[in-house]
Amino acid sequence: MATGGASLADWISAISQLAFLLIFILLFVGANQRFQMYMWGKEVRAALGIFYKYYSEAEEKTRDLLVRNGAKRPKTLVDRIKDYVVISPVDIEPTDIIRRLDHLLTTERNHIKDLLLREMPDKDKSTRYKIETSLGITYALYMLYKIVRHYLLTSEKTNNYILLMQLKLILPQIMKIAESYRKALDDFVKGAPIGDSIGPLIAYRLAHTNGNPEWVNIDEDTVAAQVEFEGRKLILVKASGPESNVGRPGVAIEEIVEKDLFKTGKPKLMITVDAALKLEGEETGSVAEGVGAAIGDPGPEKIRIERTATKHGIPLRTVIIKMGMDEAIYAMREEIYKGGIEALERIKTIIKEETSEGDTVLLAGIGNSIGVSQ
Amino acid sequence: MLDTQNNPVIQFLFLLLLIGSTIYLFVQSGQARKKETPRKLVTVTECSETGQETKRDFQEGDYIGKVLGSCGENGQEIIKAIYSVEIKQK
Repeated sequence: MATGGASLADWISAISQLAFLLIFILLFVGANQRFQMYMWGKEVRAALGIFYKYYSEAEEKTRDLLVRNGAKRPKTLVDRIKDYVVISPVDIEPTDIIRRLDHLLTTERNHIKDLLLREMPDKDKSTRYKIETSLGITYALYMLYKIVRHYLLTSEKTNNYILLMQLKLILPQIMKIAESYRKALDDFVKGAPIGDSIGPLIAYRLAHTNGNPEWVNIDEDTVAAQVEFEGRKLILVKASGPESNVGRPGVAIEEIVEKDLFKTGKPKLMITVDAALKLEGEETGSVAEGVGAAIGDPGPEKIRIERTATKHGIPLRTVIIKMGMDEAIYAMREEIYKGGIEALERIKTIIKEETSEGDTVLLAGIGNSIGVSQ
Repeated sequence: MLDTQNNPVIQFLFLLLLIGSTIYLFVQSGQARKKETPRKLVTVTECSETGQETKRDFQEGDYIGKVLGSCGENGQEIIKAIYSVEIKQK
């Protein structure tokens, strides 16, 4: 046993043991969980700051766009639209749910178009649609910010460790979505084609294979044309461009087939071509084919295409060009453009293999027609 | 053999390791994200008569199908494609 005063080693040993004892006591009273919550909360708060910055920037850009185009009350308009709600139709009674959803979506679309027309009556459709898209992006960023803030505050208020953990774990995906929207706004304002414009671009290319066809308006925002291809009558449908617009391809296909608008008789084959989300690991711009209606609307347009094909017994083929969610709303990347050229060749092969000369083929280039005219 | 349980220096090192890893957690949580490669938009134009293609930087107002003027004897110069390419870092 040592005699006299304690050595330095004794002091270090005493402090270390005391620290470990303290740590064990803290572990028993749940301090580790509180510390973990604090760390997650800190990270979510930092991300929330970024979401707020993205939303504020988008709102400022949209307001600036409105001011530059002579809007009468830009602030009021942004404030009205950024908090816009569309209440989902009743789904425990599914009868005519598609009709009800279609009605709600049409009402929303027409209302926003009407608001913009009243604000800027002398501006052309292209400018108004560009502003409509900017408002849509501001709305999306504001919603992301509000939802993340809601879950953060709820988890803190109720001391819900699991809720905060889920929020923290999903944060990288939400951040990716927010970043995509933020970057997409600049591309939309420039008016360049985006990844999602690949469908309308293919319809445009097919239409201009042998000269300039005459396009007719089927719906306010959807156009169609008839051309000759390898002895077949090819009817092409796309959203009108080059404004930012997805049109109503389902309505157009239904009208063309039901009313035989081009006097060509019933199509022998229907093809939809669209951008589709790739799985991680798949290459951007890779092409795949199959059956079904390739369209990413909430339902009303897709069901019209499916019902028309089923009612008339028309084979419904599809060609998709794969890309990431962010790439679909960024300016079109070279890989996607090249994928579009490959898809075009695939479509030509399908038409030649599955129809004969004299047959009618209906092709819809689905997607946003921004930067692609007709 | 080294007595790790009763060696105060080793105990102290463990304590330092604990404090160090806590500080690392704090620092790591605030680190910046990886940046994307910069890209630029290019416009490809084509002469309808000769089929000659020209590539230039995108200008606001460009869209696919836009007629830019005449070319050849009776042809039209039309925008054929617009896409973004990676800017190669030197």
